[in-house]
Amino acid sequence: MSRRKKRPQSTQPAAKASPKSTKSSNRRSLLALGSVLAVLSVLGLGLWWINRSSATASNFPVGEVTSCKQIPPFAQAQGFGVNAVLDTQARRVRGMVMYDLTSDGQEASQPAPYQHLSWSKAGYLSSPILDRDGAIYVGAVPWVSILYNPPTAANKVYRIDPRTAELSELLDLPAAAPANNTNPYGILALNYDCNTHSLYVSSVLGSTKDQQFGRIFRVDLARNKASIVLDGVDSFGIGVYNGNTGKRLYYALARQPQIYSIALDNQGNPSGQPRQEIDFSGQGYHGDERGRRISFGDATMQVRIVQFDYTLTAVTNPNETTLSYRYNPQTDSWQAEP
Amino acid sequence: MQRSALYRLLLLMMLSACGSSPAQHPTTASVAAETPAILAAEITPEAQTYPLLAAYQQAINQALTATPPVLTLGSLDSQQAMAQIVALNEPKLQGQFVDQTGTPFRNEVFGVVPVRESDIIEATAACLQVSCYRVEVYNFALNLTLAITVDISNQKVIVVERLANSQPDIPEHLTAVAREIASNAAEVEQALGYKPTSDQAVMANTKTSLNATRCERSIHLCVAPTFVASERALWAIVDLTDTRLVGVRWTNVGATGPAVTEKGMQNEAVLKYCDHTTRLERDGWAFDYMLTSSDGLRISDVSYQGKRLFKSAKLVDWHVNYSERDGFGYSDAVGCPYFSQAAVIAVEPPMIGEIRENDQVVGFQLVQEFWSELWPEPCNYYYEQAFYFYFDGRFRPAIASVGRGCGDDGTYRPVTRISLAETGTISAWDGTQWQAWETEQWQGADTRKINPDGAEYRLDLTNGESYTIATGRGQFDDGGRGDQAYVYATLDHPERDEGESDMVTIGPCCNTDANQGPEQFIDNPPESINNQHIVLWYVAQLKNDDTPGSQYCWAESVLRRGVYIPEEYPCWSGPLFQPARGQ
Repeated sequence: MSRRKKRPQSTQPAAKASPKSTKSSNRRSLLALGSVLAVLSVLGLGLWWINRSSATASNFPVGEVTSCKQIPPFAQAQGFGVNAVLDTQARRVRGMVMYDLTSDGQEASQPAPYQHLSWSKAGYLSSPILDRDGAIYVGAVPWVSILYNPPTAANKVYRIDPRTAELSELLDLPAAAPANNTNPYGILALNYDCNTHSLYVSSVLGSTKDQQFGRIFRVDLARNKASIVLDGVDSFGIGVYNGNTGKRLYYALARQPQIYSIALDNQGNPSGQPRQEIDFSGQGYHGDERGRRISFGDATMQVRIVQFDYTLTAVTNPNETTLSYRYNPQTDSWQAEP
Repeated sequence: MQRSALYRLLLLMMLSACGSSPAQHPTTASVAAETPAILAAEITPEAQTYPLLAAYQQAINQALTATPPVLTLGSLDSQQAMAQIVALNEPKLQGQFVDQTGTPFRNEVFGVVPVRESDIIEATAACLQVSCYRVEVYNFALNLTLAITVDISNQKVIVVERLANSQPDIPEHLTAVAREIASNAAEVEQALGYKPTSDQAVMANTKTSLNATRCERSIHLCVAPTFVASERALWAIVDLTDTRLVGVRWTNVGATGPAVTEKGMQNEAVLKYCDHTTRLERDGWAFDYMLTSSDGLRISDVSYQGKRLFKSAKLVDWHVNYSERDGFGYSDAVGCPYFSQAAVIAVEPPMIGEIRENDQVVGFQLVQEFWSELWPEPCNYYYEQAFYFYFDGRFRPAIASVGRGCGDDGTYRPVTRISLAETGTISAWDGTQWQAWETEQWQGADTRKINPDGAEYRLDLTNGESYTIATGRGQFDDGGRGDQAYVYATLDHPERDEGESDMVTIGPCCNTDANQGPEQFIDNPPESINNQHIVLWYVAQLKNDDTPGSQYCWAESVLRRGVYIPEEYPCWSGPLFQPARGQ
């Protein structure tokens, strides 16, 4: 059945995607128009006891590595508690806004939502990452358009001071190739390692349809110095986990539904060669998703997968799927959980 | 809303730093398709003569008027039949088969299978003691499955699972229909080089979702009958919701690679128009066209009867603002579906068709559509871009929004850029005569005057050609209600690239005045544009309307024959260039 009205007699085949039609009341968030990456980072929710009974080959406790993160002093000064969120996507504000959540997960009116004047100056932002001092790190990501996110700023990492709340540029990471008009993205994801006080950043700046110029960086936060962990790979979500054989950086590819990892030494620098960890082909809403976020728990890994085509495609419903995996210390590998 | 735990502070180990060099990720080479996907024609009248399909359509029609409106499964044994009857007559389920108004969805029983012990969960624990069957009913409109567990010993429904975005294995008769559609398709015959029989289609009952092959954009039920030819396999994706072929694509047997899906086929078919220009020469017109990263469909090097007319014409931006909330809106770029700055993407190749006036063919049109994946759901968009080329030399770049957007208080402002190939002068009608614009400037609808021929502007090119330009005022018999357009004329600066190459988002979403982006190319002081290379910018202002009976820039989903289809209310805009008569 054709859903089309009077059309020109086409001289070329045309397969029309008839739309899914529901009475959905989903409405595109102002900031999340083109995004499949609604980002809410909760400052804190109770405690999670890390199993310290075993140690890795590198003498770090087995497990995840972000448990040292602190609530920024400025947030406490504003009256926010452990339920506060840093929102870079869901609310109609460019940049970042902080607000508290009610017990049922709704935005609380008290304390009043907070946005420092500097928080919108870098355009739309990535998922925020906290460190052990309560500093917040973000990248500029053109979720909606590049009007407020010029490609020249696509590899900039910004730091929000834990005391003053001021957003300022931390580093402009070196790109392997200049930005081009077929790829609006640079930084896609950040993650943090308490053990080495390192910030890991994935960027696809300069990549084209035919060539990957992406890089994964390690930022030594003690010295504010960046080094390249991996070169020539477009990656999306990243995360560090201390396994039985040592510390590894896990990274989801931006072009395939796969997760790779590479060993890190005690300083957080790469050692050895990457290895494939997970292939989630066929899973998710489209069956050809990308891992946009990797997070670790107690011997668990959660991967949020979404469609990603290097466009600013406006997606009302990102159809994000979360995949769960459990760590097998015997094999130093991850098994899918039902 | 995502939350992460506040982890206990770890004892950090202080470690000495050491240098390192970056590692290299293993190269993952993707193998290009030997032959790209071919999308099928949407309407194939001959399909009405396919016997299995015709019978199936008749069965659907009968089911839609039945109570309950469910196409039942035949050839069942007595226990299966009992399970089906019990499931479909469960009073609590009747509301699942219709919408809120009582209009029936297209529902079909796909399977009635005994519940095995290994299938039993806590909710169906009773099935350890009694004989149970699982009745799977697929809802084509909502793309969901009702899995109904029936205790046939006591003739009662034990549990109902409503599985969204879930498709059960299809029954034999649908497999046969899929094979019939595929084996009779001209695209399949063309690809194979012969007309296959229905029996030659293997894997017809391989549900695409199980094979990592989906109709992920239409969100329809699809299967992929496959024809093996030596070392290659031709995938023919059949949409069983619309009962038509989506497209075909070759793969190498045994090769691993990206899945063959509706979206993949569409992207493949579109991308070649993103990678290079296509030349078209027809009816006195000649031009190149290609899909851009963020400026829609671009035509360039346009000439008529051998005389150069436009260097290029394209759709730079859509500015969409909602008056309900100040500053709420979007700047949408349109363009290629993959590796682009587009927010709303092309999902099929450009189309070329005839233009008819009074039942006569008077020209041809080049049309490109841009879609949000879930249109016409709220906050999804569908834009159309067309270039009309008339035999008599008229030309019109036309643009439409087909909704639905994020509200009923939206104004769409598409930004069109037209760069002249020859030097010339633009004049505006002042009420009595053509008044040349000596310098860069813009004009809104409120100060425009219309000359007796119905045009507001005139172009006089140094090659001797002259054109009048009429803005859209509802006179084009396309449903347009007037553009209220801003017209800008700026000096072309190739050395500055003021938009000849792909433009980034040119302006904010929500300005309600002439500050839509082109004004930034009017220098201070404005430069002379008399007998110069001029760039024309045209920004229509199209207010949407969802009032029943007068919808505009709008779309709605309506239930027809059990499935939702969109009703479109496009708002067309765009100026008409017409060869001028005399001075």
